[in-house]
Amino acid sequence: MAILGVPQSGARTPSLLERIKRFFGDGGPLTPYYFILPHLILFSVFFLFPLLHGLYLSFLDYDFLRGTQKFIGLGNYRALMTDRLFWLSLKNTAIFVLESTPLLVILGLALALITNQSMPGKIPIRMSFVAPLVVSTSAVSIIWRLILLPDVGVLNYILSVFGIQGQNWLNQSGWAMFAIVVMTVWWTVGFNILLFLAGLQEIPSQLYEAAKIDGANGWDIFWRITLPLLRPTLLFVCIWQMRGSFLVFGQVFMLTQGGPFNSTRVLLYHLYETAFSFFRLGSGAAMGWVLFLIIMIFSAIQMRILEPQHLD
Amino acid sequence: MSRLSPLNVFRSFTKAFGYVLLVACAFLWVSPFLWMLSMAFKTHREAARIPPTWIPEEFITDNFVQVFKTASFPLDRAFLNSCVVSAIVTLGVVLVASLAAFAYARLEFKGRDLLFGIILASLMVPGPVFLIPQYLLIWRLNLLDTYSSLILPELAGGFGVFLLRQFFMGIPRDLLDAGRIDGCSWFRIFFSIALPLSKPALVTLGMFTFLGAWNSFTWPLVVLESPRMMTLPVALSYFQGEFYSSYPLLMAGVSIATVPVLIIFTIGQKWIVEGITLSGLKG
Repeated sequence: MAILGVPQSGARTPSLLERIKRFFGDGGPLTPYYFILPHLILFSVFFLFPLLHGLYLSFLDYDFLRGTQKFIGLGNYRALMTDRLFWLSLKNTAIFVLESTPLLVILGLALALITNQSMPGKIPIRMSFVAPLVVSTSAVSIIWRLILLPDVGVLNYILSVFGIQGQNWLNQSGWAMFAIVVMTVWWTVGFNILLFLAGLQEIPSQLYEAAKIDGANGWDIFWRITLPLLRPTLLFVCIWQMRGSFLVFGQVFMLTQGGPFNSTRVLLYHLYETAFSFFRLGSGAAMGWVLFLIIMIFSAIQMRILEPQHLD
Repeated sequence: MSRLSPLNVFRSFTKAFGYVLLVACAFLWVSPFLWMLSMAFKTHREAARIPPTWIPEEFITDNFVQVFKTASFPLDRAFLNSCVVSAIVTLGVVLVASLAAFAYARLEFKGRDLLFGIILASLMVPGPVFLIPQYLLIWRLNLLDTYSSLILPELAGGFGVFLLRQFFMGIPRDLLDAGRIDGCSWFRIFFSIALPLSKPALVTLGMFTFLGAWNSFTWPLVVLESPRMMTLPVALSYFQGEFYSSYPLLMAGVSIATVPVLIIFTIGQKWIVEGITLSGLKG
């Protein structure tokens, strides 16, 4: 775009005032910066600065309550290595990620494929699966706690009708995490449905028609057309979903507070408690960076697996 | 025309069965909401009854009144807070992000690719990395427990810039050049050509931002302190402690928080799928 800063008239040399006007005015070389400035300032102050400051914090022994800070290098990171609760929370997060990610991706894909076909009431059916997504964690958690209550909960009642013994879902080590996984699947599968649906819209319908003429069945079409063409979407969904699962917090905060017996203490809950209940900000910041690193590593692995030919 | 062969009958039977199953699943999926509403209109006695009643036998609306009266923090105020914050965040993000996105997409300037690269990279950084330093920053700026603490960090995000840039890049160049030749200023081109053409993307971004702001939980939980500043999600978490076993009141409170977003979502759902497709968000 060479039109930027084109002189209005080349006849006479412009006065100083005109030149200043042209430089600072609309169409001058500064114009693009006027556009980006509001965002750039906010981005620098509330994003870039905290990002770097956070890295610095992770090298401090910072007690917010006492207001003391001391530079301890990698001390926080080293301390994490021997923090039993940190390792436990890492393990619990891994369990949550491993249970929720495949469920959410596969169920999301299946429901997107199903609700992409033409049928009566397609939109309401589709939107039923997406609707929970728009509700806040705390609301979702309160609704589910009520459903999962051991004595008056409706789930245990329904199970008892079928002769199945109900459980104290949120207060048993074996069940609490599973209950949170199920609730999370219910709550967030809609996001993946939406992403897959968007991806599906971009597959040319002629491909399907051609395949049908060639006598391909639904199974063939899925494996040979839909899935390969959906690969960029699949990659995006896998990476984003896994990242989301690593960041699980609200449900745990609302439903179990990390319990029972720390069986649902996930990384972010541990971080929250360290920073905002025990006010050890340095240690909390270090945990944030460890979490970030873990997410980056797993995202890179997924990219390698799902996109071997072209990494663009 | 399909003939009535046994195979065809079998096929249409499985198809019908599959459809019924799907509808049943969809119903099951929304049933927690239906259960929430059912509980919200029950008396306390009926709510604790086993076996439960699916539709309240004694239908009362008093819970919705009681919930505002008895909560130790003003729930109506929380509702207002959520409305104000979400609205400002949404308008702010759309304005700030669209301005920046336009420049990154259509104007040339020094450092453009580097700056946009940083913004793009920032999208990968998860929230917890900032949680603590942002808290300290807000504390240092003396903004803890204010609307600004909820609004400003939201406007700094790179997601909107990324999403709208994708969209602006798709606007045919001729349209913008035409404005340029007519002597319009870039701001004029932005407001009267680029923005109107981008309505779907703006609505999509607006909806995502609004829902995100309305449901935001961790950040408000950290920076808000006084009951009258609470947004709904945070208020609900306190609410749970206060009305731990008053199920009808709890559910009335939760209904107040959820029904508005469900309505907005139902109205705007067509924009969501369309917008994701248009903006190339899915990868």
